[in-house]
Amino acid sequence: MRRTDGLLAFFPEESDEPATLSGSCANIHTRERPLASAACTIIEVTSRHRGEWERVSNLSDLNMGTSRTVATDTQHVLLQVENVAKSFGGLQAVQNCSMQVRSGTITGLIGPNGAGKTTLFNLISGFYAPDAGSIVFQGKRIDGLPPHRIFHHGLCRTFQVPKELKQMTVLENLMLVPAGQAGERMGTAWLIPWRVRRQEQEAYDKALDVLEFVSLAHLRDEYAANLSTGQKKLLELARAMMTDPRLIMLDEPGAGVNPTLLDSLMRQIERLVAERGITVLLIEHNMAVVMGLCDPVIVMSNGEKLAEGTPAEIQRNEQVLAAYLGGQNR
Amino acid sequence: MTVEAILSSGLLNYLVGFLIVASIYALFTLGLNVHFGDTGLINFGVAGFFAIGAYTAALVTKPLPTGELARYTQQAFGLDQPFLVGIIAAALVSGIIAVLIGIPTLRLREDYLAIATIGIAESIRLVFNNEQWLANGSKGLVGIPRPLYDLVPTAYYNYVYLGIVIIVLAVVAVLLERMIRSPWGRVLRAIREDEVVAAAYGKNVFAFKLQALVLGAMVMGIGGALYAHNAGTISPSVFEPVFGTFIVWVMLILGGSGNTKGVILGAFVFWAIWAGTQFATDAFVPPALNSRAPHFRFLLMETLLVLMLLFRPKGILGEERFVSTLRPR
Repeated sequence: MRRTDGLLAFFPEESDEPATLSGSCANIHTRERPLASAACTIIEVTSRHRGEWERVSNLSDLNMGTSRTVATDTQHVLLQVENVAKSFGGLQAVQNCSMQVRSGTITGLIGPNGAGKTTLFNLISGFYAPDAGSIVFQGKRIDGLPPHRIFHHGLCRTFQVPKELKQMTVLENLMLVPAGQAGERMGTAWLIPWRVRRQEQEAYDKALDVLEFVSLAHLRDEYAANLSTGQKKLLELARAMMTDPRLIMLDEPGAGVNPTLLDSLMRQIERLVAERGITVLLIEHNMAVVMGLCDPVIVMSNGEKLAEGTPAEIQRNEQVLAAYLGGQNR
Repeated sequence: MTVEAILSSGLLNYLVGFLIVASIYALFTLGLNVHFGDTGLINFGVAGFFAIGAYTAALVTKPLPTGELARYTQQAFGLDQPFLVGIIAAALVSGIIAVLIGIPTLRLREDYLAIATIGIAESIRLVFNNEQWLANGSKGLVGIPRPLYDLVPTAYYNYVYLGIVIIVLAVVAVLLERMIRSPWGRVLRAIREDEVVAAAYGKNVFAFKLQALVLGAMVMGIGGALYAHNAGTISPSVFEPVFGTFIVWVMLILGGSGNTKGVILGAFVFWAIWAGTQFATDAFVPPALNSRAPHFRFLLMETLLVLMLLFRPKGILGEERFVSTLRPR
């Protein structure tokens, strides 16, 4: 419980004006972040897939009970992590960690090695259940749910070490992803082949679009095992793009990607936000990526949130510098 | 026995018998392929489902023993039903047992699943061995009826049974191939490759694994039923791990794990080697050494497995690059 009240000054959440956000980062990276249009896209995307989300949320209501539905104070907070803790044996990987991700942002999560960033990702995406605290996504508690249920809430993640499905083609790595495929029920290939074929066509078309987007289209029939590390990173991103999630969590999307590709990767992440209204939370060690792409930036150290602010604020923050340069001491 | 004697006793009949057994093994291999080849479930308990299929078919199709036989035979029930009912019952009971096995074991890591399935298969065999009332204990069951037995003279009956077995094998293979080469099979392969990814992308890994376990077990159960009707008599010693499980694994790896045609081919090629070496030792090895021959055959089988894993780990055919055939080309 070493959180300092002074750090609260770094929370930009109280000032909710897009002007402040874009103004503060204009000197770092010349790009436009049309928040208003992004918000519109979100509404479009959500209404387009409303049937699916409704079905999913009905299911989760049944299973979680209405008592778990938590009202949000502001509709702009997409993900709210509250006092979450997780330990492995004697190691306290995440302790008393609170943070939030707002709609339409690219939120950066940085911190020294072992700060608990990936553990936090695993907690949010359901691979670990937190020892304490709560995780609320779109007004619903998701902590303790299994990963496949959390995915259907509209939250999608990639992995730090690429987890390509090795003995499957790049195309089928992507075609696996779409939710609600009738063909995924046993025997439907015999019972309703026409419907399975139609959905396969849709998934195929979409996969080709996404592969064009990440410049992997020429490798679509290659086994994923044969891709280079950078290409596998792109495959991770491409798989995430096969869905229409509300939030994509990217675990070091730039690691192992060559500088040219990295530049295009950053632009693609920006396009995800601008064109498809997806919110992004990303872990990254490459400071050029973080400072150029993310706003706000959250700093973790020793399993806790140390600071949050615009890239410029984070760069000036002495505690952050101490955490990085002076090991874990603050 | 000399070569002439074998020829005169009906080489063709020998071949038919060979094809029947190979086809039955092909069914076990198809079932194991759903488990391991498609889903990555390491099931070292094929013999368990083999036994359940065989005993279920026997008890469903056999009448209760009467007269003198009743003094020596105990069986829990004997329903005296037709062959087809026995086959369906064998598949269903194997499937139900698979659900009961799957619920506690499928959440285990894959190596623990392997250990658990060995134990379960041995337990099933020992239950049949020790529970006299159930199916006559270690003495086993005799007189399991043979389908369409009165259709042709007894000397030609094997041809009829071969036809039945081949039809069942073809139907099962076609059904499975279409089921697997679909988005459903794609999820199974994703689970085999990395179940964490499948879960991260919204697939209920446990449910898919359970479906695969049940489907494969049902196919194994059908194989067991066909075995029982072919042999006419079964006892617990039939279901020991070497012939019940290990051989099936060698066939799977030899033919090409993950490929429906490959695993059927693997069953036939392996059984040809197995039966062929028996034929050769019977014909050419002097009687003094004949008793040692089986050990050399096991050595040969194991060498074959190791060579296959070293030089052609994907098997004779290997699996197809694409899972789903319903996608556009």
